Amino acid sequence: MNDNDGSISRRRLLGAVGTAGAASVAGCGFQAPTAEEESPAESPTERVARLDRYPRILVGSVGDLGDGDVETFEYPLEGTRNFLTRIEGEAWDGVGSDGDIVAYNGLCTHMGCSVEGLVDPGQEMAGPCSCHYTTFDLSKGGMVVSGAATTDLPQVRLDVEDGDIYATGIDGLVYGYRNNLRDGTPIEAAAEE
Amino acid sequence: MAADNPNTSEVPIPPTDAERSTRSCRYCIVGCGYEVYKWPVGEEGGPSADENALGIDYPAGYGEWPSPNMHEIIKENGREYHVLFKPDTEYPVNESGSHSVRGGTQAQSLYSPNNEDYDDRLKQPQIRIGGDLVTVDWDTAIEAWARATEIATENGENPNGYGQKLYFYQFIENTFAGTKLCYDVIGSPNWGGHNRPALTPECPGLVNAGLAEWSYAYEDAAEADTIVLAGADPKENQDVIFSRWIDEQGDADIVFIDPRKKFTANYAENNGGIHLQVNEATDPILLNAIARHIVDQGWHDEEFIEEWVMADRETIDEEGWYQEELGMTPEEYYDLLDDPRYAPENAAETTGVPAEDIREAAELIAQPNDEETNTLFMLEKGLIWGWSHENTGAMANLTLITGSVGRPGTGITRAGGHQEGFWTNGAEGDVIAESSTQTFDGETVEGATVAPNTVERIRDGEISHWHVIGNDPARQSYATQDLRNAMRERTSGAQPQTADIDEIERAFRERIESGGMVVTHQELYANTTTQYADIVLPATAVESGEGGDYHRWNGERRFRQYQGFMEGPSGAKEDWEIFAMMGRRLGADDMDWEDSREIFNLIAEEYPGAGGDHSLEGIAPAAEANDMTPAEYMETVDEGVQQPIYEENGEVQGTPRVHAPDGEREVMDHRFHTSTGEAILQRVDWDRVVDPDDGTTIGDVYEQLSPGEDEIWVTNGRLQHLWQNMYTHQRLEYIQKRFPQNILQLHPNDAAERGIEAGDLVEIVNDDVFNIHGENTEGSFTAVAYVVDEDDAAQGQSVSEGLAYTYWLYPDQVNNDVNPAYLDPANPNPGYKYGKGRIRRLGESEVKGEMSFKPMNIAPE
Ligand code: SF4
Ligand code: FES
Repeated sequence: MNDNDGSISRRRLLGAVGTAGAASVAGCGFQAPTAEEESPAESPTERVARLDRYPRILVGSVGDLGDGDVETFEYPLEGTRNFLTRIEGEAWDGVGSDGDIVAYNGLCTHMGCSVEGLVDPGQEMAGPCSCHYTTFDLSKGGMVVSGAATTDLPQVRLDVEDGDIYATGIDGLVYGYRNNLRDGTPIEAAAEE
Repeated sequence: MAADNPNTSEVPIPPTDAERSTRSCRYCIVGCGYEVYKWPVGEEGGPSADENALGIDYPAGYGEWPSPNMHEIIKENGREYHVLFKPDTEYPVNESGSHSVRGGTQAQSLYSPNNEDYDDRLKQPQIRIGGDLVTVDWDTAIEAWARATEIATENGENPNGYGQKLYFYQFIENTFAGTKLCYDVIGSPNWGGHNRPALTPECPGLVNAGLAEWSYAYEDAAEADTIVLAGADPKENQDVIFSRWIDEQGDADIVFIDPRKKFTANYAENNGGIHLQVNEATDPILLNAIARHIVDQGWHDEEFIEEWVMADRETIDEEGWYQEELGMTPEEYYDLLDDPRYAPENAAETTGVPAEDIREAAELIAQPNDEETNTLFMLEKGLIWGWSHENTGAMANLTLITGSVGRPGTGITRAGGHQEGFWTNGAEGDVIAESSTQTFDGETVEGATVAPNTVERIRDGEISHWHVIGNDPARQSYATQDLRNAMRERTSGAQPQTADIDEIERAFRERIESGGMVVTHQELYANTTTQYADIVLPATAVESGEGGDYHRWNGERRFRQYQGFMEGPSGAKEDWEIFAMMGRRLGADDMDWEDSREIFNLIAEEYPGAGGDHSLEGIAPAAEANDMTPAEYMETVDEGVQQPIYEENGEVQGTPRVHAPDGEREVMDHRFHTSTGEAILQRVDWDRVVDPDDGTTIGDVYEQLSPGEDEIWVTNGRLQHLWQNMYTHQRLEYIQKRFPQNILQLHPNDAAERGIEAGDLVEIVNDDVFNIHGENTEGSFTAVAYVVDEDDAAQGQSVSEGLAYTYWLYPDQVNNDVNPAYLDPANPNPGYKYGKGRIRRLGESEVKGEMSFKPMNIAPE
C-alpha cells in the first residue's frame, strides 16, 4: 500500500463511515414513527412481515432512469439512504419491463460503511466496500459475493405504476437498526398513499 | 421453528440486566473476542445507551450493530432466552468490532431444541444393533467401548490395537484428557489429529529448524514493510488479520504466492506488491529461486547467519535424525542453491513465474536498501499440505538468510487453522519410542522411529478399535474413497443383535478376531464416519459455549478463558468427562475430575509446559498470589495473555514474540529451539530421494502427480463463508444460500472444451490416485461449476487453464476422494492439495438459478 500510509488508510475508513451516525443525529428530534403507532407492541421474536406498514413513496421514474444510472433516496426514515439503479440484466424482484430496476440500502451490512458510491450497474455489483471489501450481487437480492457481511444488502421493494417507481418496503434490516421503522424520523410521505 | 430468517425485520435489544459472558469465536485461529448477552424472551432494553446492556444508542454506529445473524433464541429447561453473540469491541484482537462472516453468524450455530435445523444433533448414546443405531444408556455405551478396547488390545497386551483420532483445538482440558486416555491409560502410539494421521508437526521445516510455528505478534503484520503470503490467504481464512492488522493498520507490500489470481493477488498488485502465480506443486523451486537471487546479490544478512545459524555439520547431526537427514550448513545450502534448476530463468520454466518477477519478489523480501529487513513470512495449508518438508523448510530458510525474525515487523508464522488447545501430560514421547511400528529410512538415516500414520493402520489392520472424536476421517483424510472402502470392509463383520453387553462383546470379538474393526464416534452431529460407527457418543459443543469454562490460544499465542453460558442437549457430555469415564473403567485412578476447571487447575499447577513456546508457567503462581485457583484467576485476565506466560509481581506477564534476541526474553533458554540456540537451514531439494528402495525423488513424484491427458489439476482450500466440514454451516440458512453445494472454479476455456457452463453439476474423476504405500486407487466427487465469463472477469480469471479449485471439505462433495496418498516419509503429513482429475458435465444443477456466479476476486483499485 505504497500510495497510502496507515493514517491515510484510517482516515479513508472514517470518512466512509458514519451514515448510520448521521441517522442517529436525525433521530434527535425524535418523533414516533406513524408506522409504529399503528403497530401493536409485539414480542421482537415474532417474525411477522411488516411490509404493509411501510409507507409507499415515489422514488423515481422508469423513463428517467437510464442504463448505468444510480440515484439515491431516503426511505423509510430520514437519513436511511438507499440507491436506485438499472442493472445490466434481470434481477430478483427487479421492476420495469425488463425486471432490471432495483433499489438497495446504501450501508454495507458488515460494519456500516457506505457502498452508495461503489455501485457498478454493468457488473451488477455493489462494492468492494471501502472498509473491508465486501461485494454484493445486485441481481440476486443483495447476496454477498465475497466478504464479511453477515446479512444481504437490504433490498428496497419497488412497485411501478404509470412509469413512476415507488418504494413500498425493505427486505432485511438496515445497518444500525433494530427495526427499520423505529428509532428515527419517518420521511414525509411526499407522494400518494 | 426454523432458524431465524436471515433477513428478519427485527433484532431485540438486551436489557441492562442481561447476563454477559466473554469468550473468543468458535472458529479460526485469529481468536477474535466475542461477548454474549443472554436474557429471557419477553424482556427488552431500550434504544438509548442507558437503557441497554450494550451501552449504545440506536441506530448503532460503526462496528456496534448486532446484526440479525448475531441473534438466536435458545431454549433451556422449558424457557426461551435471547442470545446476542457479537464481536467484543474491547478485545485487543478485534477492537472496534471487526469480524468475519463466520464469526459474525455464530449465534445462528447455537443448538436449540426448538430449532428444526438442529434436530439431527446427537442427543443420546447409540450402538449399532442389527445394522441400525439404537439408543442406549451411557453405562452400556461406555462398557461397550471398554470391551471393544480390551478385545482390540488383548487386555492391554497389544496396546496398538486401539487408535484414537482427536482434534488439536477443542481446548486444553479435553485434549489433555483424551491424550491421557490414549498414551497413558491404554499406552497406544496410534494417535492422529483431526487433520493429519500422525502426531507430527504441521510445519516440519520450521520446527526442525528451531523455529516456532506461531512466533509473532499480530502487530508485526501492521509494522512489516513486506509480507510474504505463501499458500496462505488471510483475506479468505483469517479475515480480521487481513482487514484489521494488514490492511487497516498496516502498510506492507505483499508478495502473494498462490496458483490462483484471487482477491489478495489483485489487492497485492494494486498496492505495490506482487502476485507470483506459481504452477501447482512447484513452490520449492520458486522459493529456492528467490533465495538464490537474494544470495547472488549479496542481500542476505551475513552477520545474522554468522551468529544465529548453525554452521557445524557435526552439531547438526547430533541434533537428531531429522536434522542429520535434512539439516544443512550455510555452505551446503549455498551449494544446493547453485543448482542450475534454481536460476531464475530456469525456475521460470517450471514454476510459470517470470524470472523478473522472481527477482522483484527477492528484492521486496530482502529490502537491500534498508538497514534492516522487516519482512513477515506467513504460510499455511497451500504449503503445508504439499511437499510438507520442502515447502515449509524453504520459508524457514528465507527467514533465516534475511535475519528477519524476532523483531517488531518481522517473523515467520502459520496463517490459518483453528484456535489451538492441545495439551498432554508428556506421556506420548516414550509411548511412540517404544511402540510405534513405523520407521523412516532416508538417504543418510536408517530405521528412525516416527509417529505412526494411523490412517494406514486402519487400512493395514493394526488398529482394531478406532475411537474418533470430533472429526470425520472418512472424508477428512487423503484418498478417502479408498479409505472408506477399507472401513466398510473392516466394519462389515459380525454385529450385535441385542444391547445385552455380552452379546455386544461376542459380536465385537468375532469381528475383530477375523480382521475387522470396531468404530466409536464421539461427535456433535452425525457425519460420514458415523455411518461406519458401532458406538456413537453425543458430545457437548463446548466451543460454542455449552457446558463449562475452557481455555485455549490464538495465532499470537494469546491464551484466554472461554466462559460457558448455555446447556447442550441433556443427554450429551463434555468430551473430558467421556474420556474420564473410559479411563476409570480401564483402571485409571486419577481421572475423577469434577469439571473442566479442575482439569485446568491440574494443568496449570502440574503440567504447565514450562519453558516451551506455549508455557503456562506463570498462571499458578499468579493465582496463588491473588488467593485464587488458576481458573478463577484466568477469569480476571480479560484480554488474555500471550504465551509463554510468566509471573511478575503477582500477575501474569505475556511474551509478544518468541524468537526475540537474547536479553529480551524472560522465559525461554534459547532464541531458537535447538541445543545451541542457533537455527538450522533446511535441505530443500527437488532431487531428494523419498523412496530409497527405488530411488524415487520429489521430482519423480511430481511427475506422477501431474495431470495426464484430459486431466487437470484439482486443488482445494477455503472459501471465506465456510468452516471445516460445515457441521454448523450446513445448518445455517444464510451461509447455505451462498454455497448450497460445493463449487468447482474452472477457467472458461476448460469449461467450454467440456461443454460446461456456470451452474452445471460436474463430476471430477481421478482413476489414478497416487499411493506412496502401494497400488494407486480411484476416487471421484461432484461440484457445481463456477465459471466467470471473460467479460465479467474485471480483474482476471482466478483460475488459469489447467487448474480447477474447490472447497476442501463440503459434506458429500469432498475432493479428498481424488487427493493423493503422498506423505513425506520423514514426517507423514498428507499432500492434500495435489489432486487431479478428469472433469465431465453431469447435467444442470438444482441450484443454478439460486447461486451467484459473480467474480470473487474484485479488489479495490
Ligand atoms: S476472523 Fe476467525 S476468529 Fe475472527 S470472527 Fe472470523 S472466524 Fe472468528
Ligand atoms: S463495512 Fe463494508 S466490508 Fe466492512
